[in-house]
Amino acid sequence: MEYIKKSLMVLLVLTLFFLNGFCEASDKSTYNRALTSARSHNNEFAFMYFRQLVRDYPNSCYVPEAIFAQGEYYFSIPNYEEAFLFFEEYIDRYPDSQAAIFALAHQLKIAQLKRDKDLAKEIEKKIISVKQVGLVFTDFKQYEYKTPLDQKFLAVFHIDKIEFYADDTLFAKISY
Amino acid sequence: MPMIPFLQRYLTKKAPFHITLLVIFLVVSTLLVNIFLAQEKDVLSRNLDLCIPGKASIHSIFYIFPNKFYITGIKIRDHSKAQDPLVLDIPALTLNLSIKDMLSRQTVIISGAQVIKPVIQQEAFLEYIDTYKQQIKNLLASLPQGRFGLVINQGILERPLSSSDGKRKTFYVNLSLAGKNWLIKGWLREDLYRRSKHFFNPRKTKIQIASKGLPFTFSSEGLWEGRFIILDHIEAKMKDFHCRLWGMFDDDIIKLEGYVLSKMNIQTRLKDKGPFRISDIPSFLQSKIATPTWRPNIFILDIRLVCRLLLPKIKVERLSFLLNNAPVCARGQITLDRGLLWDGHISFAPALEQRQRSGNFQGAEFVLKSYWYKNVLRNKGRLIFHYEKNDNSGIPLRQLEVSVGDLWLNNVNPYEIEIEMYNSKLLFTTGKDDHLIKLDYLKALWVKRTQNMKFVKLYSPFYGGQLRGRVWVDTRQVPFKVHSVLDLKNVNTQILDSFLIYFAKVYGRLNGRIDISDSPSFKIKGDFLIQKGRLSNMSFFVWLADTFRLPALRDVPFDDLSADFYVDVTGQGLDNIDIISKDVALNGNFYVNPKRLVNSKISMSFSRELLTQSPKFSALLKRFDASTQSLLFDFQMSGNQDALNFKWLQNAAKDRIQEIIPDFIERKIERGIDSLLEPTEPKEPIQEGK
Repeated sequence: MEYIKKSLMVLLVLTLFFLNGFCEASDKSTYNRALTSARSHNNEFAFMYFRQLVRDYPNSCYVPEAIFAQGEYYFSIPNYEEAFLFFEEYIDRYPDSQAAIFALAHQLKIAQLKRDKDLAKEIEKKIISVKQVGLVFTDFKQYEYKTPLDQKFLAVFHIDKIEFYADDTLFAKISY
Repeated sequence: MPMIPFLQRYLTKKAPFHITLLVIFLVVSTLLVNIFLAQEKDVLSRNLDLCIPGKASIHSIFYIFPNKFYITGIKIRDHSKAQDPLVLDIPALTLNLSIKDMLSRQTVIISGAQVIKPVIQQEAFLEYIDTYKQQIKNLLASLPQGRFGLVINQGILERPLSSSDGKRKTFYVNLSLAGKNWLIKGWLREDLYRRSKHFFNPRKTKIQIASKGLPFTFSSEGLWEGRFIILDHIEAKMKDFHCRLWGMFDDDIIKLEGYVLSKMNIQTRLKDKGPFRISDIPSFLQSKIATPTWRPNIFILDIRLVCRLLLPKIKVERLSFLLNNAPVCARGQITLDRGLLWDGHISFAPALEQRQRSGNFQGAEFVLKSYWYKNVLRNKGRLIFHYEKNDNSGIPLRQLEVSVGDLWLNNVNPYEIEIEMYNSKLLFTTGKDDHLIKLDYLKALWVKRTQNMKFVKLYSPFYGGQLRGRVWVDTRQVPFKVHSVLDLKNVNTQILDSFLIYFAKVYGRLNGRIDISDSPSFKIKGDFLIQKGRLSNMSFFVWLADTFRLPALRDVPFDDLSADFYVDVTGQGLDNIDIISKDVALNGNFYVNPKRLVNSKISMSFSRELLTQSPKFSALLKRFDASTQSLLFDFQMSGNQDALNFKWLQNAAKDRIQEIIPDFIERKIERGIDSLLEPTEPKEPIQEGK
């Protein structure tokens, strides 16, 4: 048991070393500061650090999260136009990322809030096309995502509907 | 000398004598002229024959004082034909000479003519014009120019008369030429005639008009100056039809503009008038006094035509007009050589309000070569119909292209048109997929049942079987209401190849019925039955075959495969799907909405005999009772048509299987399914729920 623990520690150190090699030290510190601010519910500071990260380190590996975070911040204040554009940028740049569906969920919510039915339908179609699920012994499949601004998002795929939850509260729903 | 006494004296004393002398002179000179004309009749007839193309003859010619000639029995025959057919029969013709020109210029100039009851043999006359067109052109060019008036009274356009009653066309023409100006007016009418025996000579029959038809009136006015002609107007009117064109001819270039208004018989709902009240009297009287008018419902406006006359060819460089606000453009060539040949391109786009009614129809293009001769229209070319990519419309059609190898339309009588089509292809695009239907031969009969109801009956040998169809066209409204029923019998399922590209390949003989209607909205529905066939490479069966080592599922022979289908604005789908075979049974439904989202429930049953072939199932089957002859699997499918979600629904078989297999195997299968659905980048679900 002790041996396993030691092995895991070595693996963790190696992983951190590798990650450090890929991301610059300063962008990482900015990212960490942003995360710390987000966890202490200081979203304004978190937003500023994420914005700084994108501006100063455009090639950083934290840029995707920083873009998502800016969209999330604008969504919370609420400035839906800006939020929509950041989520759009995220989906365009990282369409295959795990968080893309949650960016789409935010866009859907914005379209619903703005009562833009055509846009909502278009986004619904995109969300439905993102993932194909097969339910053999289960009734649903769910995917979780912890957002940069420390929100727990959940996407639940049923055979004929998709539900999104933000911090265990229903955020958006698509039935088909 | 005072005037009155002289006149009194002259009139009482000398005038009777002079007048008598003058009368005698005139009578004698008229008689002499007539005797001369009678003697020289043959010479005149020969001279006339020389002037007029074909063979012309006259029966007699009389001079009427002071300036008239009365000619009877003028007959013109086409002597180029073996039977020497009669082309034109003029019982009487009056020629007026211009006294003014006779006195002032001492020349004989015909200033007017009146043709009484001429009979034109329509078909022979057209052939005569065609044969002698150059001579006629020369004759008209040689005629002296000046004031001239021609009246054709009670003319008859005759077709070969049958012994029974029928129709004949009568016409009236009044032509005035003054220098370089012309004015022509007239009418044409189709009357019903009746044959009856002659009162004095029972061997002969006489023709009487039973009822007069509605006149088609025409008029034209303009002037010509050398090679330049200005057409002030050419106008044609009939009941519910009005056409007016104007423009110019510059040598061989024709430029015309104008409009056409017409009315089709469209049923309008009559208002319930209710009981008649005294207050209604003024409006009732006003309606009786008011001039009857008609409201057109077909507007051909802004006609602009530019064409080049290179006879017998007319090159249509540009023809554009608005047909009920829908822009139509055409260019091509017309050849008038023993018939009418059109070779060109016509494009049509629906008006905005029509587009809203007709769903996603965007426009049509016709690239056609058509030849019209003696009631037969022959066509070759392509008809392309474009549809907008509109996800809100249930009709998935994007483009429809009809390629016609050879299409014959024979107008056998006013109520029937025979249609024959050879080597045709129907190519239509739905989404990204092209579907092709080939028609080697199709025969159809178009029947005008009533003024507003047309019927088409069609037959075609079709993919080794038969296609029979009936189409009803209701013209009481625009656009027309069309309803078609097509019956397929013993058709080779090869026709389904292009429709089931991603689904399966079906082999067998198909029988079915397709119902197509466009009212209140476009809809196709029907059913089909394929018997003694084979289902090959059905995607889901292939997956089962590979996963559970059941190669027999790659190719499933079946006894019956049947389903109902529909395509309409709400989407498309298959209902009551039913496959009956020895080892596999399948039934359910499959619907796709306009957003290409699927909603489907399918039940599949596999025989024990089939499942025992699979090493995976054979172990499982041992846990089932020996009496269980088949296992039933229920599935629900939904989501994007190109990436379907599916769920194995709970039923007795699933309950039993879940009892048998341990949870970790269930999870393994589930993960296997996930990796299968996302083969490129597998993403493990974080949590699964029951």
